[in-house]
Amino acid sequence: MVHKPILEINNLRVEFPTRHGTLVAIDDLSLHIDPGEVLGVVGESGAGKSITGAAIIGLLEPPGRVAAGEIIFDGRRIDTLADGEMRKIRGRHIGAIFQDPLTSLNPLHTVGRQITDTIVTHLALTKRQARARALELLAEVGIPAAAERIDHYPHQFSGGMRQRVVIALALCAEPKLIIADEPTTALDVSIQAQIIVLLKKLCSQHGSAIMLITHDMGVIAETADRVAVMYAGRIGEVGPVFDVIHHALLPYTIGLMGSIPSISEEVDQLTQIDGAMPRLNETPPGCSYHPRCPEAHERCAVERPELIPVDRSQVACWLYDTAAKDHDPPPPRKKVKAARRKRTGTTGASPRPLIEVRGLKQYFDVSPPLLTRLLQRTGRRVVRAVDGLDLTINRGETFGLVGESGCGKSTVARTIVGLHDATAGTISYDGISLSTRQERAKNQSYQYKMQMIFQDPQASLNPRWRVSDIVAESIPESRRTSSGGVAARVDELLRQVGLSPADGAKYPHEFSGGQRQRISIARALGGEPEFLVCDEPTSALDVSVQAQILNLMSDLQRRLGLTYLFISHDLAVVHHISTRVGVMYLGRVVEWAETAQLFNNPQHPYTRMLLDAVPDISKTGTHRTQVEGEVPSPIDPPSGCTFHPRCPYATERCRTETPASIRSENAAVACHAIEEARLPAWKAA
Amino acid sequence: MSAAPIITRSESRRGMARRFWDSDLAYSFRRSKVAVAAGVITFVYLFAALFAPLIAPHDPYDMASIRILDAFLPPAWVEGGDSRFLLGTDNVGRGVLSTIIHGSRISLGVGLASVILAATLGVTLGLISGFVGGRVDAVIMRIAEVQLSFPDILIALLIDGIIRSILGPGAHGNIAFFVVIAAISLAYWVQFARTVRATTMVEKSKDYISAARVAGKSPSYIMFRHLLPNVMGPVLVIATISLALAIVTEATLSFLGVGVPPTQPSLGTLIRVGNDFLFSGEWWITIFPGIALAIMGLSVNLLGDWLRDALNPKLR
Amino acid sequence: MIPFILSRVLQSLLVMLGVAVIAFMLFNYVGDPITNLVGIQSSDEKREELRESLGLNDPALVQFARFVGRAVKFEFGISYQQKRKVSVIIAERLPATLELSMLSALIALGIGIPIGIYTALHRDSWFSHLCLSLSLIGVSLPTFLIGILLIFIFSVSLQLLPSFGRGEVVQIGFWSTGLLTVSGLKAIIMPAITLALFQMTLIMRLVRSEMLEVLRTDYIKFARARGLTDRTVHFGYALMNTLVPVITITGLQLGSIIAFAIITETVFQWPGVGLMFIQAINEVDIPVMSTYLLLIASFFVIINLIVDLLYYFVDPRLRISRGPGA
Repeated sequence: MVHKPILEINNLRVEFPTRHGTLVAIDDLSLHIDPGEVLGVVGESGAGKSITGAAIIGLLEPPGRVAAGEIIFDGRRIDTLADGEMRKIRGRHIGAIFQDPLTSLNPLHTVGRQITDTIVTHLALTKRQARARALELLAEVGIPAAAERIDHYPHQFSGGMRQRVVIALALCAEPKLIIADEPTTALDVSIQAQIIVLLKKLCSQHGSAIMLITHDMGVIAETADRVAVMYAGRIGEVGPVFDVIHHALLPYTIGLMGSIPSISEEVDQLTQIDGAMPRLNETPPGCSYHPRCPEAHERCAVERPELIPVDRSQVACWLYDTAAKDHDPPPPRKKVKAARRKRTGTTGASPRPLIEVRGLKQYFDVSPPLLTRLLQRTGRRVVRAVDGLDLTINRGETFGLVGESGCGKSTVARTIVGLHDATAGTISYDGISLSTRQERAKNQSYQYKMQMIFQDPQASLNPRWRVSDIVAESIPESRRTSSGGVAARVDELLRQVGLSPADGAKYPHEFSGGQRQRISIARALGGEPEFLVCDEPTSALDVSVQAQILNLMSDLQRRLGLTYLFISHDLAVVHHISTRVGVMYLGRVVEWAETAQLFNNPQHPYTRMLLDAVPDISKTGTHRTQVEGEVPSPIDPPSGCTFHPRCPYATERCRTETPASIRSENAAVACHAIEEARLPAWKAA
Repeated sequence: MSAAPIITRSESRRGMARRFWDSDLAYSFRRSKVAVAAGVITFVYLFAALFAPLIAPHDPYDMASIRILDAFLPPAWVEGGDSRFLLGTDNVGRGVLSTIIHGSRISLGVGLASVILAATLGVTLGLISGFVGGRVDAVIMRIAEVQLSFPDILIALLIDGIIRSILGPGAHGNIAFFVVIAAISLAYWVQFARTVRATTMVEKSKDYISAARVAGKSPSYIMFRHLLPNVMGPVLVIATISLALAIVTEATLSFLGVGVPPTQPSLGTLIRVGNDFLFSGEWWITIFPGIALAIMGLSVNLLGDWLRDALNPKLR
Repeated sequence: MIPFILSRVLQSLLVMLGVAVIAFMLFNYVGDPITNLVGIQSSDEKREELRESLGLNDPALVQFARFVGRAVKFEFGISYQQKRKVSVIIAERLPATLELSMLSALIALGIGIPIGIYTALHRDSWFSHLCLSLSLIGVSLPTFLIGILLIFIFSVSLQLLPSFGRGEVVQIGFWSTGLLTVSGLKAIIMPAITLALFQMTLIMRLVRSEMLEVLRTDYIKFARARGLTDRTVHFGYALMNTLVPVITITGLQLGSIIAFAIITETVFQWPGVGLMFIQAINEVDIPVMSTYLLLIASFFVIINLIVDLLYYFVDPRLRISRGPGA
């Protein structure tokens, strides 16, 4: 039986007239969504996925406009509708979910009011009926005590709860299609999992189709039925999720899949696509991917390929033009299964500790001012960001520190490097204690051996400084013998990170995110450090760019003999790059072990929960176990073992006693259940 | 990854000028006819202010050249007017055009001096307040808050009044200038401080500052080499708007009789003096200075408006 | 809630105290009151007697306490120039200023807010462009110039409205009002408009920019994406969110009307406390100056307090602290 698609887009073209000329954001895009199916639209930043979503619901930011093509919803053409008509479709037949639940909700209206407003606008219900319906919805999306919380304001909900409210809002008029634009990107890993499950469940219950726009392939792998891969405003490949991920056809998709780290496979180097997606005003002629494509030939630079059906998918690539018969299609992707990387510290010589942290505590006082405290009779409020942390990092290794937001990993990084003064505990570098400000001042030369790379490529470079000045900043005074010497060193550093010396004269805004991160790395290397603390260095980057940077970092480690402390919330990235991994929860390390051991045989219940929750491309179409609870706040942590409210194995003892760390040869874990040998064996999902 | 030669400094400077002309800022200026007009007018005023003694047809403060017989002449195009005095004469025989040109010099001069003083004070305090935080920040902000809840004119009047009282009722001469400039600056520093502090606090948390700290740089290095360049954008906008306000405030103070000394009248003083003759029919003595003041204030405001829109990243 | 109100009231009292200190120092230490009372010629003995009897030799803190005590009872001393009690002078002249200010405030708010909303919602209409251009003029022209221009047009040229004074005034108890007579009404029009113009344009531009800002937010985008009508989006959502920050600034602006009255009263010779203050500055009449200061300061402090409390009640984020997550 042939279903009529609920949404059909034919040859869509979206333009933005600017003073530099007309920018084409979407160029001849065609796709369709069947009723009830989940279509993932995936691509890196700038590919045009959000713009496609905005064009469908008619909310393009001016001066953007639909210049050509048609959008057909449920058999009816909607791109030419007047605004009044389109408004009736919005919300009622097509729903939308945006990325940030905090800014999507009006802070001055109660949640209930916002839902009932929408219901009343679209369905012919009275206020009372609408409110009853709103209550039902809130319960359906999993808000506990809905009857009470319906009258609460958005700021009284946590991030995950707010996104549930947003979902309720999108669904309340029973739309047939939902456009979800990065619905889980702003949420913690464990909450992400909950939201994905909820979305899928509700949509199948209500019969809505979903257009799931995201850059996260793991989410797509678990949720979507089909997936469309976008590049520079066009669709490059579209097909069933399993096919596209495991047997990709388009060279870009092959490269993309190869550059995504996975938590279950081990590779030495990630597949790297050189260069970056072209900016809108610099689109190459012919196939826009051809400058970066390893399989490109003459035709690709001249003619633009259309979508060609291959098996159950469609690909826009001349390699599959069977009529031409110029080239054979590329062989199926081969993963570079390298020999096990030498894990320094485990083979041969015994590990030499470089950094030793004992009992680190970092408390921040966030109390309201004295007057308010007196009058409101509240006490001091202290954020226990780090609460008794022990860590040892050996020379030459990469120690991955992983955890969700609020667990304190960033604080640990900044304290070790000296940006914060520790409240308590010791930090030593190669045996020299660097725990207090005085000690650091006395041992300046050791202090310079530590450097840091930051998360946000935008914020980590001074926009008003030239790149050469930025990179030269960390060259210590003692080395600045002559300006010629400094300039030569800057050139050398730029070359080391894959940039050219000519880039030194430019300003940061002239570079892409990945290039800026390279500049950051060049700056960090200026003083010839031995130890680099990397605080989420790739979290803000596109997947293919991330692969470039991770490969660069591995390269530099080998060449310069660096030791890394790598902090991330992304388990797959940590799995790829680390020798040993530590898991943090609410200011403490709950478990650490060698990478393979931790990921294949996790001990701590939180580690298990995390591994279970992570959306990964290897988990295509699998059913996941439900994950409970919210990440608690570090101001008021639970007593005893801080994980006990969410732990399925918690006992009375867990509520009162903090577990001590149980050491084995190359691992440690802090859990009562393990101590009491109560924990069942781990079965990977 | 070729090994291209490093761009020479002079080449990059030339490129900088070209880049500025091509930039969004300059483009927006060129596009906006209003901004261009306002810019031209302001430039004319600046020119007149700088070269007043040279371009004014008469010197209104040279006692020797004034003849009481020339008093109360209407503008040249009205019956009874004299072509020597294009805009008429005042009650003493001074040419109104000349007094306006000299008056503009005073108005603009006091305005600029006040703004520069206010900006220096405000930016410094704002940087320190935002960067150091803690007690220092609390104290400075408390003072700023209290001062902000009172309108500028009142603060200026108050400070003016206090200083006058201290110096005695006979305070004339150049002291009055400094009093006025001080009064206006002390009224307007707060706006600079608040904005600079807010921007500083935002920038302070950015990682390029952290990187500088990891590299062992001192707080003053960070404040002046890293933060200051990033703070100047909003400061420029506020400076333009404050200039317009300062001009108005000075005019108001002079009109009320507590501004610049009567021996060197600003446009405000001229309006006050001329006001007495409004009812007896010699309207030009007050109206023309009034128009001159209005146009000056308007063009500076327009420039400030354009600047604010052009520098606002959200509106681009 | 109570603790919030208490802390704000406490802060206000502290500010008042600070202002009182300045007023006191002005009163006592600037210029020599004795000289002003008996002249330079009198003997040192006589002066010392007077000093003692006036309590001017007591420690500063005691004098300050006395000053505050007297102020609370509305005893502010005697004007140097007029030789009358300052409190009497103020009581006579305050109604004039208050009437003028309140009328101006009504005009400024009543016109400023609706036009601000209109120009935000209909950005491209000719009316919006007109209003914006006129508003720029309103902000650029000094208040006194507007007053003079109005006088020139309506009093000198057209001879329609009086250019000074209050016209006929009706006394009701301690309040004298000019609103009940035709000449009174004629007299108050121009000053009220002059005073209102600056504030009106300021409020209009503020409302407009706030509203434009709000209309760009994500939650408005989301509301549109849910298909809510333009009316609901603009008036139910955007307007409310706009008015919250506007309230604060509007409150402060209204306070400054009372201060700007100084200028207007000077131009129109309006017999209010503003004109009194200017005359006091010119005559270095310290008691009047410092009392005016106290008076104005208390107005501002009270207005600020009301605005803060209003803000607290309107914005739920201040009222209700973050609840537990799940």
